[in-house]
Amino acid sequence: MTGIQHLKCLSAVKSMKTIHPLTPAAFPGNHCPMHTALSLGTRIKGVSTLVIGTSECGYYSRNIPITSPYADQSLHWTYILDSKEVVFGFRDGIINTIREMDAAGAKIILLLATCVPELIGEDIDSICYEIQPRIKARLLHIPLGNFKCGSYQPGYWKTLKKLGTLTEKASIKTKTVNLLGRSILEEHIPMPEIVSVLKRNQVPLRFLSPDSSLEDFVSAGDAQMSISLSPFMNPLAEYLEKEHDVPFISLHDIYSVKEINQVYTVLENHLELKIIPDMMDLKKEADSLQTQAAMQLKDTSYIMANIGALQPLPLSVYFSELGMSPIMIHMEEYYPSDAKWKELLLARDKNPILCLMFHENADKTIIQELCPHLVIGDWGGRNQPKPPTLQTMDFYGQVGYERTISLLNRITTIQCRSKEAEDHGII
Amino acid sequence: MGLYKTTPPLSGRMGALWCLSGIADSAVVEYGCMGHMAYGRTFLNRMGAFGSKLYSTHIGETEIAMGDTSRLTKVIRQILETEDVKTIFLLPSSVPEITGIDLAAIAQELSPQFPHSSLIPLSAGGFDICGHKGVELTMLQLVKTLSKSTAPTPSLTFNIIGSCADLYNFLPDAAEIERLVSNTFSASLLCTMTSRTHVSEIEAMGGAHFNLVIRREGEATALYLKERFGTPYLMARPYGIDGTLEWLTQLEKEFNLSANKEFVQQEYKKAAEQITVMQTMAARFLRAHKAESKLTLAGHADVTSGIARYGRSAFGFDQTICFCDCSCMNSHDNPYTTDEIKLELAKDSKGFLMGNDELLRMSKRKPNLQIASPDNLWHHAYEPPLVGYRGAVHLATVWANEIMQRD
Repeated sequence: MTGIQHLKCLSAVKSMKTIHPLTPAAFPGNHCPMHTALSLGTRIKGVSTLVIGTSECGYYSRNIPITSPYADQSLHWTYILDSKEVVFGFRDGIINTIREMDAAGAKIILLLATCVPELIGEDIDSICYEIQPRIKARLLHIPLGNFKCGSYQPGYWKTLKKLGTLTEKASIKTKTVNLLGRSILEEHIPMPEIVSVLKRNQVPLRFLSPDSSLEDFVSAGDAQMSISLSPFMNPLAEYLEKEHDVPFISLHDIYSVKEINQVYTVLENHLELKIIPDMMDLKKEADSLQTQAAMQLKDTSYIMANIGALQPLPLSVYFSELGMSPIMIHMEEYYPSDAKWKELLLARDKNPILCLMFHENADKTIIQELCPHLVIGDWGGRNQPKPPTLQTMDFYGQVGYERTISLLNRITTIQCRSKEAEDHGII
Repeated sequence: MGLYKTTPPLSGRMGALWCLSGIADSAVVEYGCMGHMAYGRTFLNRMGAFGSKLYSTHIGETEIAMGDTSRLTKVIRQILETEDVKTIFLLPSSVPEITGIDLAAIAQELSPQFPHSSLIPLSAGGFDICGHKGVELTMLQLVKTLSKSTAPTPSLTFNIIGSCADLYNFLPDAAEIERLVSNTFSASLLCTMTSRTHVSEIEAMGGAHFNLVIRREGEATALYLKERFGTPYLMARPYGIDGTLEWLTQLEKEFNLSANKEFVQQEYKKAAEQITVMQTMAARFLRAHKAESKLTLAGHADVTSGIARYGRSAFGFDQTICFCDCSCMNSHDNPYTTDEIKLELAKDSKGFLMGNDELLRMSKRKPNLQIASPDNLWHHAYEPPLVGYRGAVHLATVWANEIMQRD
C-alpha cells in the first residue's frame, strides 16, 4: 500500500496547512478559488468582476461570464500581467482599468486577485484605498491565491463575506429573515421544509445566494435573523451578526433530532411562531429511524470522500453519536467552526486521518486497502459493491428532519444490503 | 498584456499543454497550482483531446517559500509506478516561473532516479510568450528530443504537422487531410503532430517521405526535419473544391508523386454536384442583398485566409474580411482581433460572420458558424471538417443555411 505516514490525524490539525494530499499527483485536481468567486460574482445581479492574473486565469474562466444569465447587466473583464508587471508591479495598469470600468458604469467591482498577484505582493488593498474616493464604483479586493488553500471553497466564502461589507446599517429591524445558501430560482432542488413553514407563516424571506441582487446584500442588515443553509455562508452570517446585530442559526451542520429541535425552538422563540408542530410527523419519523440506526450502525467504520456541499466534521460528529467510527476524512476547507467539531469528535475518542483526495484511481486503491465498512460521498469506487457508497451530493441545500431521514434511510439500507450480500457470499 | 474585455490570448504554457495533450502513452505534469490543470483538462476534453495524461502537483506556501520541489519527484514516481508511461513532460507553471524553479535542472537531477524514463522539461514558460509561439516551440522541441535517426520507410509515408488542440476542428480536419492524401497517393500516415498520436509515432517521424505543414507554427519543425532527414515539406491548408484540387496537384509536383486521378476527379465531382445548387442560391441572394455580401472571418490566420479565398471564388462574396487571433500574426490583410474589433463585429448584423464561440454569442449568431477557439461546447472527432472536399461541402452548407434564415 502507498504510504499514508505523511498524513496527520485530526488532533494534530489546526488549519489547511497540515492537511496533505492522500496521493501525490492531482489528476487533475480541483478548481481554484478564483473559479468559484467568479461563478458567484457573475451570478449576482449588479456585480462586476475583474480577474487579475495570467492568461490561464483569464482564458479558461471566460466561459463563466459568457454563460451567466446576468452577463449583460455588468462588466466581467480580465487584467493579464506581462513580464514587466510581474517584476515591477501592475499598479498603474490596474488603476487605469478600474477607472475604465468605473466610467463604463460598474457599480461594484470584485477585484479577484489570483496566484501571481498574490505571490508578487502587489498591495491591491492600498490601491483600492487610494483610488476609491475618486470613483463611483465600490471596490472589493478578494485575495484568492490557489497556493494558500486546499480547494475552491474559499472562493465562495471570501466573496460572500466581502459582499457583506456592502451591507448598510439599518436603524429599524424588519420581520425579514435572511436565508443564506439557496437560490429562489432553484426549482429543480426541493426547498427545505423549514422554508415552506416560514413561507406558510408569511415570514418575509430574503434569499442571499447566486441569483440574488446586489440590493439584497446591501439591505441584509435590516433582517431580524439569518438562517445559514451552507458552510460557505457561515462567514457572511457571522459577519452580519457581528457588524449588524443580525443573529444567525446554522442549519446545515446539525443532523441529530435533538439538535434540530433545539435550533427550531430558538427559531420559534425568536420569530414568535410555531414551527415544530408543523413538522411533527417528520420529527417522529426521524426520531424512530435514529434510534433504529444507532443499534444497526454501531461500530461501522467509514471513510469520508467528496461529500459535496456538506461540512465533513459536523457530519462525522453525528455519525459518532450513532456509534460509527471515521477512519479517514477528505477535508477541503478547515472553517473556524471546525475547531468546535474537532473537540467534539476527539471527546468521543474519534481521531480520523485527514487528507485531500485529488486522484480518484490512486485514492481508490488506498481506500480499499483501509477496508472501511462504508465510504461516504463520491469516490473512484462508487459503482463497486464493496465497500458500499453512501452518496451525499444531492444533499446540497437540504437541512432539518427530512435530510436526517433521507440520510438514515440510505445508510441503513446500504448496510442491510451489504450484510445480506456478505451473508450470501456475493461479496 | 493588460486589460481584456473579452477572452484574452493563450499563454505559451497553455500552447505547450494543448500541443502535448494529444500524445498518448505520455504524461504531462504541471509543477504548480492545480487550478490551471483542472481547467485545462476540462477544456481539452471538451475539444476532443484525450491523449496525454494530465497531472498537477499543486503547491503550497511552504514549498514556494522553501523552494521545495519534492512534490514533483513524488508525482513522477507515482506516475511511473502506476501508469504505463515512459515519457513525462514537465510543464512550466506561472508561480514556479516567478520563483525561478529551473525545470531543466530538476529533470537532469531526477533522471538517474528514473533511468528507464524520459523527463522532458518544456521551454515555453515565461510571461511574454504567446500561445501560438508555445505551440511552435513545443512541436520543435518534440522532434528535437524524440525523433530518432532512421531511413525513409520502404513504402510511401507522410506526416501531418500542426494539428493541435488549439486549432478549432483539428481532429476532423486532420482526418480529411489523411483521407485525401492516403487515397490520392497511396501513402500512409506516420504521425499526426500532435493529435491522436503516440510517442513512438513522433520518434518515427524521420522516416516519412514528405511532411504536410497545416499551419505556420509547424514550419520550424518541418525545417528541422528537412535539415536532419532531408524530408521535403509543403505548408498549406486546402480549402474549397478548387483549392483542394490545387493543393493535391501541388503535392504531386512538389514531391514527385503519382496521383490516383480517378479518386481525385470522383471526389471533385461529388463535392461539386452537392454545392452547385447552393452556389446558385447564394449568387441570387448576394446579388439581391448587396449589404449581406460580406464574409467576415476571425480566427487563426491560416484558417481565415483559406476560407476567405473559397468564399470569394466559389460563392461570390463581394467582400471578405479576415482577422487573426494572435498579435504575432498581425498583418495588413489579417489584422489582430482586438477587443474593440470584436465589439464592432458583434454590433454589425449585416453579412456573414464566422469566428470563435464567444464572438458568435456576442453577435447572437449560430454556433455552426464557428471556425476558431475558444470554445465552450463539447466537440468530437466525427464532426464535419472545414478543409478538403468534404470541408468545402460543409462550409457551403453552413452558408446556404445562413442564407435560408435571412432570405
